[in-house]
Amino acid sequence: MIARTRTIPSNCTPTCIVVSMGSVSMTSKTGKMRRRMRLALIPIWRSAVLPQSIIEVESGPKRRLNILLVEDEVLIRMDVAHSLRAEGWHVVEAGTAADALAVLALANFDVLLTDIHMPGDLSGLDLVRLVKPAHPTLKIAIMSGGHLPSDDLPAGYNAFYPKPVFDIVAKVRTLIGSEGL
Amino acid sequence: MTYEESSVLLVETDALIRAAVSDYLRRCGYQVVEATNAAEAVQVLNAHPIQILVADLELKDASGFQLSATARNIRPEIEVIVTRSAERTTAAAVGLCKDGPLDRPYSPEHLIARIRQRRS
Repeated sequence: MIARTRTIPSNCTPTCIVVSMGSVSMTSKTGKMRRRMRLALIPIWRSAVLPQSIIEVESGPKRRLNILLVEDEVLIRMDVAHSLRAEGWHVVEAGTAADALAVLALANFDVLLTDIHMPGDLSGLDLVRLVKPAHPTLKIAIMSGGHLPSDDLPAGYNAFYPKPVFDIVAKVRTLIGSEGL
Repeated sequence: MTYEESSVLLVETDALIRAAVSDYLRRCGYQVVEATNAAEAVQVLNAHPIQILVADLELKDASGFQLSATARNIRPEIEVIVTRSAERTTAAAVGLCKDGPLDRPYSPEHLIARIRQRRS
């Protein structure tokens, strides 16, 4: 849930993403997430110069699949994005979880593909924990060379892809399943 | 994967500006590689024959001018455009896309107008 206020919304349970003057943060009514709230502060005012419609250009029954790819290794990101675009899908790239949050605050996606270990205060796992409550229908796949599915992974993810990820197109097709666009 | 024809390396810190401008250039028929900083850009330049570099002046790890000098050392034939703002980055993209997008969800003039409207 997204609210344009500094006040924590009454329906903010257990967590929510708050968009306020110049920042996006995650908070909770209980105060348990205070430390993480500070870590999640990211500058968004620079990003606000571009309207949502420019990023979210795909709409209507014939729209392409919208994918947000979060990966800090530029050559890996480039390869994966190239494969996905060759399939005709619309891909937005982010190099950090904070960048991904800034994009997600302004645009809707069908699929989130995220690495775990990235520069900055937020990991890919933090990103999943932050975005899933606000985007419950988002299909999320976690990619990593170092983690296997376990209790450490956050609730709400739909798939885990060990790195190196082969045949990403087939994996995404499986991820979106019968809801494929 | 080859980036031999009409390949643009867009180096921009801001994720949304990067996404919007790279989307626009792809709709114009360019192959676009996105980098968030100078270090990433150098990795790409060493790995692929990029023809055009569009770099923000103020990157986190170097200036756009420093990056352009490095880019010319790696690829002397490269065309370099250093920009200073979202508007100028967008204007550079519009300049590269003389014939307009292959499909038209928005026009270049509309893109500029929307950005200026938001900023005013």
